[in-house]
Amino acid sequence: MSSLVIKGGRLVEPTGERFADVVVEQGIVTSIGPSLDGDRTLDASGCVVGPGLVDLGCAINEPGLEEIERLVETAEAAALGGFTALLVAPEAFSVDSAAEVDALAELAHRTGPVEMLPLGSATHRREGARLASMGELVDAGVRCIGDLPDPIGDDLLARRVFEYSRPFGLTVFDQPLNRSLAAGGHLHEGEWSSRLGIAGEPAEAEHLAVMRDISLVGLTGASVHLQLISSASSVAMVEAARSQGLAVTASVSAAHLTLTDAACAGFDPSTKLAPPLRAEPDRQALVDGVTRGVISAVVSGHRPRSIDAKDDTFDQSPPGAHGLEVAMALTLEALGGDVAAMHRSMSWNPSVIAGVEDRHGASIEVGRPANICVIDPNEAWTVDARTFVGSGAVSPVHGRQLNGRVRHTLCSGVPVVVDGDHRSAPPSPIPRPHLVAIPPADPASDSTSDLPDRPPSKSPQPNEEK
Amino acid sequence: MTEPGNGLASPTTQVSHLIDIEGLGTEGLQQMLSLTDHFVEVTKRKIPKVPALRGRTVVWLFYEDSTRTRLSFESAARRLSADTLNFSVSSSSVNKGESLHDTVSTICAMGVDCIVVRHRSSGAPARIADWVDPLGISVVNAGDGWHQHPTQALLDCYTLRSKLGSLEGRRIGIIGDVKHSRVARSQVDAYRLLGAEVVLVAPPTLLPPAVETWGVELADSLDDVLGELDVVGLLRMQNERMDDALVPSIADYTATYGLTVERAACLAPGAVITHPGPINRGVEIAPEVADDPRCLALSQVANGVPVRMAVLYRLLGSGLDFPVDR
Amino acid sequence: MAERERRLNPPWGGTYVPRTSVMDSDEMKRAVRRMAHEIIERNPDSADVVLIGLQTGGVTLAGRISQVLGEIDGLEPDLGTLDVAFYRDDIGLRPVLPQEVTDINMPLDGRVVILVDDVLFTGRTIRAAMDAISDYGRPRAIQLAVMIDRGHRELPIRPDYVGKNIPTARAEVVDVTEDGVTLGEVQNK
Repeated sequence: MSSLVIKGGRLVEPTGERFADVVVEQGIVTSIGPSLDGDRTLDASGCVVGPGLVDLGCAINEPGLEEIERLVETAEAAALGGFTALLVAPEAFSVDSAAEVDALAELAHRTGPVEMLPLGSATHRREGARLASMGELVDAGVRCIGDLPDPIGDDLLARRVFEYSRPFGLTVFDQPLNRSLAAGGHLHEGEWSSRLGIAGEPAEAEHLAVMRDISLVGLTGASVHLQLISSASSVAMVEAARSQGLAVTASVSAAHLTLTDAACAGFDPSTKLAPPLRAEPDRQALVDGVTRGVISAVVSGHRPRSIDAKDDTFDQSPPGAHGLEVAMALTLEALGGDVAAMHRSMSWNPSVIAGVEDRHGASIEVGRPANICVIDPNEAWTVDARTFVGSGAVSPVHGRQLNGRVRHTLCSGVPVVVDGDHRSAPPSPIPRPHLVAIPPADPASDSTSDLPDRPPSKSPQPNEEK
Repeated sequence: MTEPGNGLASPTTQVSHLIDIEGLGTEGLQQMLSLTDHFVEVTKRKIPKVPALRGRTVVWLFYEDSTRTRLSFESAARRLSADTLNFSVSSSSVNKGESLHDTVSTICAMGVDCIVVRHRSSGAPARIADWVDPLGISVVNAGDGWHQHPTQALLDCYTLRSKLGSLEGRRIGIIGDVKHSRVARSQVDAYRLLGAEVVLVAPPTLLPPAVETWGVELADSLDDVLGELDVVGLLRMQNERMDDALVPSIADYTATYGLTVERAACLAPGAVITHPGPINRGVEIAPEVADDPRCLALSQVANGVPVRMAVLYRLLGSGLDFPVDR
Repeated sequence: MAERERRLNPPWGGTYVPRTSVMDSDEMKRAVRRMAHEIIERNPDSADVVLIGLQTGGVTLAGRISQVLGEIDGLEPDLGTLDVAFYRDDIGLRPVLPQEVTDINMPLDGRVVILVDDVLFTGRTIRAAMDAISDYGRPRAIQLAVMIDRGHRELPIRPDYVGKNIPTARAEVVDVTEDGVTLGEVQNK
């Protein structure tokens, strides 16, 4: 097979940056050093070469709501955004069993080489009543569970989920929200909700839930990831919990690092998010939290909705917007252009939380799978949501000038994005250790056919192949 | 009028929509009130009609029932010789689940100049203005959710100015459910732009969040401030507030915040009372006080028509939204 | 008149710069006296007459004519003011906010209304004024008194009483003040 060299870029590592070329063969990084060559060259001059981004917070609409966004579109958007792996939370679907893990893997497999990892349910069918079949999910390779985008509402059930998850080493994801106190607010309760005359959700609705989760971690010893915190007090509570040695991590969305509730002044539903954008002191606390590592991960918050639904009045629109294609640039800007800090919160840390650091998100080293993104940190561009992948993309930063754009993305060595354009790529096999008969020490074989020894599929073949 | 060619006649003062008071600004607000004087004169004529908006079409897009406001606007439009169309919520495809955007597109396709909107969602007129602005169609907010009711505030300002003269330095109290009131939000903006001091009086559950950013004073009890108010601005108290655990009972509300006969006797000399209507007799105001000459509710209604004539004329007839280069 | 022109013609705004003097204040006074005599000659019963000054240029003139009529006849006729902003046929094309309030608080039916303006130009203002007057009542006759007729009529309107006829170029501007009449131009800001 031919080799590919990423030439002229600066390799970013936790210790710093250095100029180095990277050669990729058969999906693996085979050498790193100055002045290397290959059969094919990807120009990385002026760019930073780093591990592909890992998104812990991406909602998918297929199966069930394909008319909003097809999985293949999510995969394309992800690659354009520099992501090589996504932890996906299905909007119209729940991952309660091995069969569903497989079904999702099969669908994802056909979209291309961006890896999609399922967020298993925490409660059966995400209904918030009974525990999900965690043992089965773990056997199927699931490492993280949660009822996202819903919070685990019932306190006693949350305790049970945390307790039961512990021996399996699962990380429980919770999007902290006390629904009762939230009282159906559409916007952060504060100066802007007051002025605009829209029911607001007080930050305290999040604080109560964060407090509950942290207390239960103390009680049960579970590992919990608080997804999408949005307020200064939440950051402070997470910091206190971590300093006590509790296994608590947290994430924030890229949009929340950039925008505040003032962005909602024009009643544009593209700025309606969940959790809502909060006030400037909150935003600064979130940026500070990411910078100091209190907040481990920045996520895309990608949650596309039907274009008609987002074209309604503010209160009638569902919260959510596109996030994959802008997350990296927003984070880079919020972190003052510090590429290493961006990779820490979008590659290194999330890969550990998702449990995929053996192949995604960790430093580029010889012998590792080539999941790489090449970023030009100085490329200036204007966000045009109409050009985003998927019909009717809506973004709260539409029209904004950003610096920093993905030049190339490689997934398992396949250049899926070249010079900022998405290229079709055949799906490369994804590791399914619970299914394959061959030893799991061979995680990324270069076979272009379907996985060996796979039992006949029960799910129908999709009509389209990319 | 010493200096023609000033802001009033300048074609660069583009006013395409009336969505909120803030967008009008002090100058726009003063201008609208001055313009109203002209239309008051028109309404007093034997033939209270001018051909100013002949050939223009104004559409009522009322998603919330409101006969009073709509009729006031209707009267205003007719007195300007404009044609009107009614898209009210009970008829038409509004009820068949057609989206707001589709309804608006349908209306635009019929060839209209102005859409007057009342909607229960805050921000609906702003969204509509975004959609129709490129078509040169004007939008007037006739009340959106809890957000704004600018023409109500304009007629309140006009009525108070007619009665009290300049509002500069006046103390105006707004009493009642401020949190859910679009009238209150518009009034606070307008009174402050005219230099008045505003005092809000409401149970804590009916105050808006972050009200300390509004630039108003707060009073816990009506009795504390009653004697120093030049204007007692009452808001309607709705039954639903009791169900939502916002007030214990209507009777309890009236006892603490209602303008009873006893309280009315404590008003400063020359103080007046306003109410946007319809009045809940016996709730926010005692029946006898509602009929007191100090209560300006009927004048407010009367002034509603010339105020709305001024608004429609300013947006559609005054030619001020046309560019210089013709 | 320069005021209205400045408001109504592009480039809007700007300042008036006089070039030639057409009448001084003495000449204007004599013209007012003459027009007053002409009015009495034509309308012997001054109780019959209502003077309506058009905002803003015609108001002062109407006041002066009324005063002189009072000196001659012993009785000042009824006086009103009219702003024609709402009756203009070019609404939407030119900036027209009314400047002063209309005040016509006397009956007009069966009487002679004399519209008074400082400058007669295209005639559109007078046409609008006639429309407005018809909304107030039905006068027996409408006559027109102007200090300056500058030509360039676009409608079949003619004055009954004129202070002075001045041929002008279309782009020129006529300005009538207490101190006299000048011909000039409006300059951009």
